[in-house]
Amino acid sequence: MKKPALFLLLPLLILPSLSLAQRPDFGKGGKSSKGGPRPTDIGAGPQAIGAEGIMWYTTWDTALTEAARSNRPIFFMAAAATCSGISGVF
Amino acid sequence: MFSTEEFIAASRYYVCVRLESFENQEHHDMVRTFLRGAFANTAFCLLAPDGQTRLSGSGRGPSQALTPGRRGPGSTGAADGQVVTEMSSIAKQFKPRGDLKDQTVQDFHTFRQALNVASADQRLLIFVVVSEAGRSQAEAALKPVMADEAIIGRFHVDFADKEADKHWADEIKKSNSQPGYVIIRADQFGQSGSVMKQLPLSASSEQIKEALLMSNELFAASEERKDYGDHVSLGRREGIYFENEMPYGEDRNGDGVIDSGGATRSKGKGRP
Repeated sequence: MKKPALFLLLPLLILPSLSLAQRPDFGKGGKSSKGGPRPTDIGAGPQAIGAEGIMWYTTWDTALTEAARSNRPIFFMAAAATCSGISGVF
Repeated sequence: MFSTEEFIAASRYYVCVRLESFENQEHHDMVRTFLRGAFANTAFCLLAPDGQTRLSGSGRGPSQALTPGRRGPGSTGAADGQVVTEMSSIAKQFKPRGDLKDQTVQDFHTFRQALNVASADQRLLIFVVVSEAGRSQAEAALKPVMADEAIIGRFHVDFADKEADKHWADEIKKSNSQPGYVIIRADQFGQSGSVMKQLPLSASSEQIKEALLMSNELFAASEERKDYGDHVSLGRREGIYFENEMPYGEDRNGDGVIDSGGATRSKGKGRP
């Protein structure tokens, strides 16, 4: 049997390491337009419900105000709380 | 990565802001700024407190942006531990000032987005129904609560002071539209929810904290972590659609136009 070329196996090694923040946006049919994982392959997040997490600001104005007040640097993230228009998921 | 103890501890030295990429033109433009003109659903950068000076590279997420020179075919960026180390090292350049108990209280642009994000994060939403005149008093009561170790990073907060929020109670079960601190549990798709507890605006910080702890305990005992794939599959079957101001999809070549073949589902359930 012919052995698969190494470059064909690379996505299998790389894609599982994507963090929540880097989940690709899925197009029609559940496929990533980049050929990434299907939504069915991602599963559930590991954090317990109700547990401590990141304290997010959700408007730029409030974040800037707080950064100016506290002199803390800013961890900027943009992300979609939807998948192909389906709400309620990061 | 974002849910590890180490990462959360490192994040406390930062003002963490997460904008909804598709919410409005402002957010859309900020994403393009950090992706060299292209648009994708995530973007990341560390910035100085002035909000302008970049402290790191930028990219889709922390793993890539915090490892300059390691990009390229096959690169997965920094390991989680390395990201935390980089974050901690950069944060040391700044000496935080002021008391955390005086921190700015979180807010959203709209209630509907707050409900959606609360659902996506699976956190309870504290919705403060208050007039513009009464807002500073409500904020003063909330500030020490939101900085409390037992509360921080476990809830989202939104103020009902926007025109778009006038009809917030329409989609929320057990709501009475009265002013107060309303603790809301969003439903699975974040387009409706129910009131778990409501306190008057006269409630003390201690009373608010107690209500939050109790509600969070009930929530944790009765909510299961969503499975991403199951959620999306169910959403497709039920025709769920959440309209943002900006069109879904990506612009990988940065020509200013959303690429064809992106997310183009037709509208189903959900408010326009």
